Amino acid sequence: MHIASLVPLFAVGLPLSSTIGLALIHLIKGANEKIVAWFFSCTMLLLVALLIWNIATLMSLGPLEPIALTWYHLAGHSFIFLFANNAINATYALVFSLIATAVGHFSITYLHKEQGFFEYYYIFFVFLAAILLVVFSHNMDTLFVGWEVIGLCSVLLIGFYKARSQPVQNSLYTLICYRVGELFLLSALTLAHLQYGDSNFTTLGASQDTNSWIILFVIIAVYVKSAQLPFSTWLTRAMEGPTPSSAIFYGGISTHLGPMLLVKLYPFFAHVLWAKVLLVAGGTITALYANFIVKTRTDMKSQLGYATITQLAIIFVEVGLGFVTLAICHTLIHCAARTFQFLKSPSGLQDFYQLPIENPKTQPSSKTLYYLLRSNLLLDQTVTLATIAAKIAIVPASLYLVFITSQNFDYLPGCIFLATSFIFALMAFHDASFLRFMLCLTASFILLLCCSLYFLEPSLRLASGYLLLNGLIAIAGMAYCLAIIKRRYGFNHITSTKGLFFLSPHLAYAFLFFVLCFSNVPMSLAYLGEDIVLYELFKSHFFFGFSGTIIFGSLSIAAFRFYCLVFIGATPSACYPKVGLLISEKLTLITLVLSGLSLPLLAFW
Amino acid sequence: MHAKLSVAELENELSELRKYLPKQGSLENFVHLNTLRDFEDLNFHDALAKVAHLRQSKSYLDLESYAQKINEGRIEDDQIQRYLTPEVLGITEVARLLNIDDLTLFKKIVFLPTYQQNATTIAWALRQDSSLGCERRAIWQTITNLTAHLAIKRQTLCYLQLDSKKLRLANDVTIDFLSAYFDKGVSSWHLEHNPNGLLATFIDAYFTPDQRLPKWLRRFQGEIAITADDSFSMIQSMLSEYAFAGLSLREFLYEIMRDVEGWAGLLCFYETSNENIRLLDFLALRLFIFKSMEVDKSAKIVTKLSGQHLDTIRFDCLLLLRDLGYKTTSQIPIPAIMPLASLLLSLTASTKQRILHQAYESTYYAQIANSIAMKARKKRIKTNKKPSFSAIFCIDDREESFRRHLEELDDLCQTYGYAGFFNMLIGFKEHSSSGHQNLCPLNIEPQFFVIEHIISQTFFASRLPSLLHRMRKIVLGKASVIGLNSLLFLAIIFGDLIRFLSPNRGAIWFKSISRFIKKNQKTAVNIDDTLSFSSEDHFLDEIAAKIASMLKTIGIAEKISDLIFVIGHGSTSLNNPHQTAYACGACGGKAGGPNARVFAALANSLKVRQKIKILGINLPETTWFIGAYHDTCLDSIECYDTTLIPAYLRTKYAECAAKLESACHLNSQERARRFENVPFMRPKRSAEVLKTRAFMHAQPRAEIGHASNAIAVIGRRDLSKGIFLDRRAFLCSYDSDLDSDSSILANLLAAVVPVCMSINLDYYFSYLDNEKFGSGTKLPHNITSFLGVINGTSGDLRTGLPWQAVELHEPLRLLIIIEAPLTKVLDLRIKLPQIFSLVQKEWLFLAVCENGQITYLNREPLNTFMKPPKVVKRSVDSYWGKRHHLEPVFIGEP
Repeated sequence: MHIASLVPLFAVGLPLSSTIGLALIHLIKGANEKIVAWFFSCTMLLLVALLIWNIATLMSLGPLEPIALTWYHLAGHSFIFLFANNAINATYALVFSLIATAVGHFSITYLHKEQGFFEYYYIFFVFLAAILLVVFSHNMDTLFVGWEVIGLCSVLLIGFYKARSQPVQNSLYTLICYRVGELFLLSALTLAHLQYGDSNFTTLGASQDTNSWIILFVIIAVYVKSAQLPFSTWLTRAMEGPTPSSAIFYGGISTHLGPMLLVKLYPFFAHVLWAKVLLVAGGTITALYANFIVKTRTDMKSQLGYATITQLAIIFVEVGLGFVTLAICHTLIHCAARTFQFLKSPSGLQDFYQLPIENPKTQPSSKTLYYLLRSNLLLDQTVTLATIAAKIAIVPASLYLVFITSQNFDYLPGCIFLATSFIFALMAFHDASFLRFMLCLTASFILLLCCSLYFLEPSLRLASGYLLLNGLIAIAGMAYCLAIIKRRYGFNHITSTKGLFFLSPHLAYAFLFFVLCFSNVPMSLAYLGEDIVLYELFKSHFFFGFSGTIIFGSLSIAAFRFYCLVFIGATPSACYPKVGLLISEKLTLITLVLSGLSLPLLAFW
Repeated sequence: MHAKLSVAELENELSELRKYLPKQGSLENFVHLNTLRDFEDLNFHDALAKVAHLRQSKSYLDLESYAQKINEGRIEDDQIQRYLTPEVLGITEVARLLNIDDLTLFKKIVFLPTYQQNATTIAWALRQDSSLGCERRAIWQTITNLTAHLAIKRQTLCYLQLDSKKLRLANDVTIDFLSAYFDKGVSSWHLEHNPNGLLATFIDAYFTPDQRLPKWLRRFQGEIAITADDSFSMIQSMLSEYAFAGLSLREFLYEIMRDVEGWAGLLCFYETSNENIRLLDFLALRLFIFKSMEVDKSAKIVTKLSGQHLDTIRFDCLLLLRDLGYKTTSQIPIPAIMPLASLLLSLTASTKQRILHQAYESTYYAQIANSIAMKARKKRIKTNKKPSFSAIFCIDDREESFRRHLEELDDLCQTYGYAGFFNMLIGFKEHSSSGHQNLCPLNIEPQFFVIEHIISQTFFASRLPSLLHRMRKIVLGKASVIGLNSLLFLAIIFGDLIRFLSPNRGAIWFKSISRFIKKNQKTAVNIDDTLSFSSEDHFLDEIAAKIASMLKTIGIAEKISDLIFVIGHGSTSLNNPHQTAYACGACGGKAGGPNARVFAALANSLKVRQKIKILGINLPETTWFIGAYHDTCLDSIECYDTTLIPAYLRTKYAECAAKLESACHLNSQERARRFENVPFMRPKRSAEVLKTRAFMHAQPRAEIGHASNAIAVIGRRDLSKGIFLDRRAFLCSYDSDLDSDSSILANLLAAVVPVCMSINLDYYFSYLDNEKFGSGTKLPHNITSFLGVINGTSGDLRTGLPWQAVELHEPLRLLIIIEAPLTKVLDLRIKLPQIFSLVQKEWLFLAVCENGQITYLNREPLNTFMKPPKVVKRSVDSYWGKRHHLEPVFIGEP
């Protein structure tokens, strides 16, 4: 094995280890901006040097064997991190790292003295690691881990300004959109495991019988990530963070991961005509739509956002037509150009003073068209309609459930578990009281487990028990945080955002940690078991598996929503006292956090 | 219910409401204005309270920051005492019962934790918080028993609560419409304006097309018959359906506009100049949107109790007693408890803040007044030496340090301050731009046009700008499609990558290109006087009068030097929507270089000279004016038309230019101390480092602007010369000896006081409550409609200054010190009632310095500061190594 095949590991490891190093220094000595800048420069210098060397080596060696790393192996189930180091991946990695370097360097000056400077850079490093993970990944499992972490980083940066309500609402909105996409990706991944026993891109590409569901699900996931037509509303809403974060996420790297995934999977659907037609048609429609929207937008960042969507749609068309190399080049060039354009967007006014407008304004031909475009095809209305539709869909879904049960009475207990779990998940999503929220969350979670336990082979019960333990630690952590709040601040239900973050940031971070653990973020507590549970559910029935993913998704959204409600919002400094945590409370929290951290690592054994 | 709302009543409410809205126009013509200018007929503190009530804004800083300032010695005990005694009546009695003096007691109260506790938190603290002492519960019980009869008055406050989701949608539609309505060219499709006004346009563009759509695609579900021509009856009918018990009409109307107040303010701003825009229409529009989106259905009136809870007072008592050393039940001074509790009850947060704020201002004023009075008392040694050269600057506070450094470099030079348009009301056309820029104070029309043209240039210099222009157009092109210009695109990406990775290098390239172009291009200005003058003679008369009046005002009368620099100013920065806030206010938020250039050109012409002579100013024939431009961010001085300087002055000019450049470097060094990420360095090195800030996209703080401005000195330079004023002073030259009938002073005050006060109060309020009065941090700002900034993509228009511009400010009202006989200034009260009314209402402070005696025309801040300020040899000794605000220091000899 050549040393160059280890490059992906180093590339992902570098930013991750800087995060950890930074965190350690922060904890021990306290950090300042200079240390962060130093860490950043060193990391990026090493990373870029490594990637340049990598490309040089690849030129002489040709593509290398993928390298595999097993996370766990449990009774026939395994999670393998698979990295491929080939010319395409290496180029992606280098360009993305260069862009990240430029943006990160820009941010050091731009975010100087800003509250949340350190938070920004922690998120930035994790984001970078996740990007490289996605870029070098060679199976869908690995890709999914990075994919979710990127989504999460993006959501956290949208809510960067915690004292205002608008960013918080928008970060929740984006989270929900991302969750929908991830749900489909997760289903596709599990289906791939079921059908091919593996989600390796080589295996998938070589397979003859193509599962249409997988293709459809992947396309939907990719459309969400790249804000293509039915899902394009989140992109402009997401531009709430500091300009560089908008640049790198929405102008740049994050949205361009969609085409990248399709390129990786291209051999898999190259011979499926309908998929390519769908891509070309969807791309064309989106490109036209976004191009027209640009004409009616009156602010710089929306314009840039929709311009990005236009170009992404064109890239999708290119993929659909089979011009893969063109699509790759287009992705890279556009990604870089748009990121820099975003960074320069506040210059718009000064450019306007200096450069006279070249194209005189034109009247739209149709007033109705203009109105529709101005109000973005009333897509926000469609979102409301979609939620209504989803609510209505519960009826046929439950009828279908009854139908399945009547076919096979073995399913009955599982169905009941699933249905009640779903109801509890919905209740958790709407509840305002601490106690009821926690009860609903726990009930839904345990019922889902019971369901999977019912379907599970006895040999796997152990794994499920492990999941139970993990999830319960997260739940206990959340409950403990809420109990502290109740005792300290005297409220136990929330009607509006409370903004406790500013009074007790440690508690907020602890709560966020538990939420993340609970929301089956990859590498976290619940993820490990969730993988197995979903696999079993999908194995028993497609519908069960799909409902399972929905329940997992909504539980995590519910938990995140609660975090937003309790901790984010305008500072009510006049209303609540700033009180530090007691030592006993601190110790309990630290124990919980440590156990949360160590359990997934234990799985390596 | 307000069913019988009359037109007059509504109009009245609207005109009241307008006062509260943040009226700011396009950022292109940004000029500093007093944020609360419509409340100037009220006392300052009353106005603050009034606005705070409706807008829920802050009136003063947090108590914590005042406590911190007390610790730093920025608030003197004597000053607190002075405001404390008349404002808080019972405090002496309570203090006596507690065996301390009232000041100590007050400070202890201030240092109490400021939050309000509720029953749970108090119970928690009593149970868990061991720092309160072991007998805390017993003491608590005692206090509770003793204060059982304390009567507490709590008012109910009403709020309108709307469903947040629906409200958000309604806001989105409103903002979307308004940004399209006011768009100056961001979108390429244009919203057709209906001549009947805002509401009619809305109906045309939104409601009518909407009704043509299938029902499931409709946003405005209702079948409301709306007529655009009568907004009033529409409002009337809609208001009659709302029940807003407990809310006054004004509060209700404000609630409707709260989330879009920035846009509403913009509307009010344009209301006066454009009859199609009416706030009334907007209100009708907003109500219509509310109604059709059913926001109103979810409206709830929430009542809250205002004021403190009784337990909070008791808990404060407990904390205070512990602080005073009463740790056990037996020690408690029983008779003092009840009076103490009543005192705490009557001493509201805003009273405490007001006392501390006034003391804080007075402390600084006393320091300044003391040092200026000491300077004034010193006997002036009249030198008969002719000054080496003179320089006339803008009165801007940023020029204070520049002038000081220049004088330190050359003891014999004279500097003056005059409003930066130098009496030249011009419309200026740069050779590269296509349109005119009005370089005059706000709301004043230019009198004549000045056209810059190129007289000679080299080949490259002529091609380069258009090439750069073309490249920029491609980059700035909105949805630039890759493929057509892909090679160029790659080049641009590469250029950007370098620029963002190494901003300093990028800045140097950028600078050298522009320097190269400037070096190889020679320009001249032509004057087009046909705008408002019938003949050339008429024009020259007018100009001569203007120049003479300026020279007279600043007091250039005898011993006139051969070289007089006239220096306008402006600022360079990138990625900065608020750039206009950094330029010259007297030139309408633009760079004032052309004004100086034109002034010099006209003042040098023989025809004008003759006319000036007739007007009584004896300019020697050898005197030559040089127009120059000071870039306050780059800290560079660029002199115009240097080729025209007569031969006998060439060497002298070279000497002076060198001095100006060294002053630039020293000025940079002084500015650098305020930037935390710039180390202290040699002057030249500082200048190099600061220069790059102007060309960095990543730099949100290109310069510090007017931050920390606090005083204005109107008088001879001798009054302020040799005092280190830390760039906090507007310096306006005025010589009362040349002004026998005080008409010059009257004109000066009428022009200068509003400008300085506006800058001061704009910074004051933007700092005080940056979310309500300012525009918050600029990092997430997004340019909308080419007229302002919003947060994200659908937020309200942000008005005021961004946090990065004001973070170094200290909220002090302006203190103006006039050097003139007191009686003369007092006589002006009849002539300038508006200004003196502002003084009376404490929007600014006015003091007169006569024979070294400072007399305040408001309440006099106590002059405790009798010890003389420190003396240092040069300015640099006073600021080296220090990043915080500095006290006045004498430079040179005491």
